[in-house]
Amino acid sequence: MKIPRFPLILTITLLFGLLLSACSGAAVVNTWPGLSSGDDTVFLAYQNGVFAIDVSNGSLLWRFPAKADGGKSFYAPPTVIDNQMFVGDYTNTLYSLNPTSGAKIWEFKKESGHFVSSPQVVNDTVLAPSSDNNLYALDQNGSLRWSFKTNNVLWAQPVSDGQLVYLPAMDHNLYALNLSDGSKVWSTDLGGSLLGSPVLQDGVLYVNTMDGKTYAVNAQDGKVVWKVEIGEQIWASPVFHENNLYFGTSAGTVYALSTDPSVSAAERVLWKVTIGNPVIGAGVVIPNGLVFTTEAGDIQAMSFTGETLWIKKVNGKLYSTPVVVNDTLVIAATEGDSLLTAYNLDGGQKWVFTVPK
Amino acid sequence: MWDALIITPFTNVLLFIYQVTGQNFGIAIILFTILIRLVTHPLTVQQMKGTTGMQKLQSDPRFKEMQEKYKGDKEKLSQEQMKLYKELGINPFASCLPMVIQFPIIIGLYQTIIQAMSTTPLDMLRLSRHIWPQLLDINAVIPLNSNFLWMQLGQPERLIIPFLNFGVPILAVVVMITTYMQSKLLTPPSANPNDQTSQMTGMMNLYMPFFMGYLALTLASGLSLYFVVSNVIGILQYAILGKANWKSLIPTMPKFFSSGPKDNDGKGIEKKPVAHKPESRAKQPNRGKNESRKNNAGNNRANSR
Repeated sequence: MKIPRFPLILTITLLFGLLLSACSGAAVVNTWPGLSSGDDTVFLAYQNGVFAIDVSNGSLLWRFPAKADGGKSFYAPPTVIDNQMFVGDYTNTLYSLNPTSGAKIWEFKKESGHFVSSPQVVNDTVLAPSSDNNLYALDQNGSLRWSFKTNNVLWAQPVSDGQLVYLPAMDHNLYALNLSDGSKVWSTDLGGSLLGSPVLQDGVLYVNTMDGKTYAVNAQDGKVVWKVEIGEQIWASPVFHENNLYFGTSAGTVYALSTDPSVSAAERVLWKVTIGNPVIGAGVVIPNGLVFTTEAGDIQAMSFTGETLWIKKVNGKLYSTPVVVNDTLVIAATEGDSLLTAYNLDGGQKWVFTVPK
Repeated sequence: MWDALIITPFTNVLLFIYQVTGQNFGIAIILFTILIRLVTHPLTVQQMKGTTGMQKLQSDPRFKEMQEKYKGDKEKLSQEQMKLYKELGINPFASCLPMVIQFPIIIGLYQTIIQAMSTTPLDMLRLSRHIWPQLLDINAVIPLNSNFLWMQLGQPERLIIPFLNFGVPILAVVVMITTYMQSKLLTPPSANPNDQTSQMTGMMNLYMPFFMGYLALTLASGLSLYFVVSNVIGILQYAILGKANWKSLIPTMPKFFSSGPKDNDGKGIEKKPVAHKPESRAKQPNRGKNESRKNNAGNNRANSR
């Protein structure tokens, strides 16, 4: 029997393509969802859309784009300030959206690079770190004011005091730039990649490095005030609460550090609690303590002194930093049964959300 | 299992090369691809021997005869074929087995490069778990310095030329050219160019460069670099072993590269434009009508391109 030639060749080519795309992981972006909070609303960036969800009942308010577009992929937590939302995607585009309707206001597109972290908005400047190694400063209409190039990708949100921009970079440097023109004021090599945003408090920047160190850096001159070697990978920002820092590690331990400059290195670690499973996202503050989530799906609420308040578990991997909106804790799962799960602050489940088809 | 046996060792070797070669991931991809192809070279040689044996078999008149004779009796046909295999000293699996062994290694190499470039946080988290701290300094290898020449290896490649307002995909073009060269050079001349297999091979040779070019256009340029290096090494391997079929590289030049006396006197180069004229072909008594028809078709295809 003679097999038709063209369909056979087409089938072989398609199978080969399928094999390569299955192997690649590059054509299809895959990472954890981005969550952020608004008034009565949770914003979710996941796969090919940005979703606004009513925090009271988990219903979908709007999605952007209105119809799923396979050419887009959103994972960076959106930033909402003054009735304007800014969210970047993995196809090199930063969007400004109306947070109440999801309508697009403008877009800023680059030739290459993608937006992994949330943009920061300071006064009327939008600061967007990109994987093309640049920090872009845009005005509120999406026009480029200046850009600053680092030596590697930028995956963490910058912070600012209104004069200087503090930019954490994967090239191991913490940069201070002038907000007005992007000129460098100082940079400090911290010896490890900066995956999380710094916390700026009373002229001191607190930042974690991936190789397991926590630094306090003087915001004026970039000098290291103190550092602690944790020795376990740290993937997220510390949480600052009443002069203490709280964060989890990939070894499954939650640490509390004192920021008091007068304490000795030995006294810096106030306490540590072993959860047992990797903590990748940052913690979130609730009225009587903190909540951390783990890769194994654990949700653990603990007091500010490390005692367990309650524990829940979901089927899925929890890498994203949770958010709290109006006494509701919302967590986002990767590879889980439900994308979002909402809890009361005492651990009672309120609703779940899955992306409608 | 796959991760433990292939991906983790490959990742650590690749990143070790990166660490000791001045943290240049482009150089690391090139050296790592060369290393893997060198390690699998004996398998490539085996595969080539097997392919040559199968060609020999297919050109044997007895093989064709028995196919005609036992057309309706597959069992008898396979028995007779096995006898002929033994007589000619051919192992029918000699070309398949090395390919089967090489295939997971090539897939592993591909996955390793993807993983090492880790363009998302989740990819990087997974990468960090594959690193052997005894061998590698995590601060030196995460994140990779993915700048190489004008490329950022984690992104699709485009060369920005000042007077053009768009990027030119140079590497995708190089991938297409080297894929075309490799597939043409590695295709042996068929004993029967009109049979279905050789026609299919011809079509694959035509489509594959476009397909690979499309992948190079859309995927991370680190992979495109791997495609180019892998193609060039493949060409070199076959050329060094004397198995490269140079005369099929340019369809319009079969006579120039043929082994007749005119090709050896050096003047053949100047006679290239008339090499495929009907009267020139008439001087080659060994060429059958089918082959001549195929060459015309090939020339027409080449001209239309």
